Amino acid sequence: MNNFGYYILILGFILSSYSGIMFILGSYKENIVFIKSATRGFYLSLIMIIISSVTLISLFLLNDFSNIYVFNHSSLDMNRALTFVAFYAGNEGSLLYILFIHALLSGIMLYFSPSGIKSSLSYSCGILSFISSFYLFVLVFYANPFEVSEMTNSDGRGINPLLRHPGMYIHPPLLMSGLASISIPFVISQGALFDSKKNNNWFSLLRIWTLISWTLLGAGLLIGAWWAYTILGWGGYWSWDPIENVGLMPWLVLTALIHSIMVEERRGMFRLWNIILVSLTFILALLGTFINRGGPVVSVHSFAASTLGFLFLGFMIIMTFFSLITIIYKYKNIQKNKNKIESYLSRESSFLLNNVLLVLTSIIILWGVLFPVVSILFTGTEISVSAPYFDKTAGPILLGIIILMGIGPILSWKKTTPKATLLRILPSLLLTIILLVYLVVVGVTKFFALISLCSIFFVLTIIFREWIAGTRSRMKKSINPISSFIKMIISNRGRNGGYIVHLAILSLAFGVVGTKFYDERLDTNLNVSEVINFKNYNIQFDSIEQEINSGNSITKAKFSIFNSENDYKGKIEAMHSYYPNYNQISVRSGILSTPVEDLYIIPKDFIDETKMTVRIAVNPLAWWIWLSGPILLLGTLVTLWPNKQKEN
Amino acid sequence: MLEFFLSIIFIFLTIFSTILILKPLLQKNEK
Repeated sequence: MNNFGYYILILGFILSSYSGIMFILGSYKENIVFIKSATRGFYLSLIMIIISSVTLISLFLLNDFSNIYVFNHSSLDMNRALTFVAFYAGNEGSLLYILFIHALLSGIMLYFSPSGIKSSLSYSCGILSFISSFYLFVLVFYANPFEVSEMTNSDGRGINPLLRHPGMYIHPPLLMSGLASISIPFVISQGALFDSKKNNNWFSLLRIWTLISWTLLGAGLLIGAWWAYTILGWGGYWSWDPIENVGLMPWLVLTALIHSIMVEERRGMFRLWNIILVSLTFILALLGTFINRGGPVVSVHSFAASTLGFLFLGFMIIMTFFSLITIIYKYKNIQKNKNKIESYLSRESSFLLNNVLLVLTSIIILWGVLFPVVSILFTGTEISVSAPYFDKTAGPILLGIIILMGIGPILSWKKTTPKATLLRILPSLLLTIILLVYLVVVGVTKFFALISLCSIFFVLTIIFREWIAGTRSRMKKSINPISSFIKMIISNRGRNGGYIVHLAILSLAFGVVGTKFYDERLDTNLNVSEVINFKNYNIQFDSIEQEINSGNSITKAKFSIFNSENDYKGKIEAMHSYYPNYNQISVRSGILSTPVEDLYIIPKDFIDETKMTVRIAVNPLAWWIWLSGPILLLGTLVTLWPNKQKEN
Repeated sequence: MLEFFLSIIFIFLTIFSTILILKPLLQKNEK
């Protein structure tokens, strides 16, 4: 079975390379027969990748420990539900998973793409095939997931304890899918550059795939943050770890791209800029893969670390030069538009500023990520930058972007007068001033927190004002406000979907402000039956319980939570799971979450059967960070939902 | 036994793929 999987990978590599060459040749010579043959090779290589992925999953299900990858990431006592996630728990399997997603999305893109842009798509598919070939090359020659051990193994090591968490089902697949999917918008723009027929339809396809990548990556990052929040030692939900940063950077540039594509669609401007942005996103995604697979910086996400960094670095350098050269030499194939920015007070200007700020944030983060390498080159010692650098540099810019999020969408295209703009934002401005006074009166004195909360509120009132005005105008036809509101949302899905996504970002920012500026913590020793008062809580330490399983031993601490009036609020369980095979402890914190604040208990150390050391923390507004996820998905769905009327 | 079946499947897939990708090219030559 191992040989079968490996030979199928080789077959996939041959088919993928063949289709890449034939697509490029066919497009260059305008030979339909070549393209037809290449298309078949393209789909066949996808089938081979699916078969090899299914083979690897089958090896896990059959507990074939002769396979080194299965031996290292599975064991007989492991929960069977974890079999599917063990597939992508290490270097080889996760590479195969990335390839699987890349090939699957490529197939979907080709199958559902409009016929009007077929000429540029054959170039795109050629590049996609070469990307697949690269991954297949790495799998076949350097990271074979079907490698067989010379020893007979009756049992495996089991999956890394840190990965035994529900988040494992969603976070890595979404994040890897997000990073893999970025190649689709990239090749769409590259195809347009190569296509001498100067097609213009590719922009709507670029927009759809950019939104898909953005959502996958955003959801992946958010679920990763939630996962980290429930595990000790990861610095809360976001620790500016290099691997977190290399996921965030392409997401920020994709955010910029989504906005600049709107300018392109509406005014025909920013074409070159969009192509540069999409290429930059792709290169940043490759940088992420390089750093994740054995790059030069240390990260807590070392699950897929390998010695293959040089391959990915080489691929990244080749693709960087490739995109630069195509942009320089093929830009003439893109239809030019003579439209220019007419006023600084226009939507396109605000989107341009948004783009500059988002790209600037990415550059700042990139500098922080690469600083250890730069410091070694120039000083000989490695200096890492930590959270304060990122908070102090990226924080204020992100706040600027939030303010812009309120003003940008209400500005008209081409130009707006300052008076009209002021009149439109005046009610929100007045309400924000009232909030500012209220916050100062109730004791919110931290400057940055005040500014942030007011900015969030300002944008929120602008969105609601727009929606209320839109619903009112529709209520002239129907009395029901709810149906009028829904009709108003549906009438302009792009714009209102965008507003919903903005609400998600506001919810996220609200949670970040609460947890960053107002979290409080206490480290203490506790004895069973002891009651400790912290903030508005009376925390009663009920018991310590031991549970011995075949693969691990669990030590649980149970707490009953009461408020200051001694009303019962709930129970919290926090635990240590010790995995002897890995000699590793996986720590789960206990959380009692409400929209106002989270009571968060981390079991630091179990001293004996009745005594332990804990960290108790209160994280205000953390709940709102996780709320942003569903809102973000809803907004993207509204935006992407096909508009039948428009299509007809 | 399983290995034998898998070998047959692999050979079938290889031949099937080769025919499928070469068919458009050969058809053109026939014309």
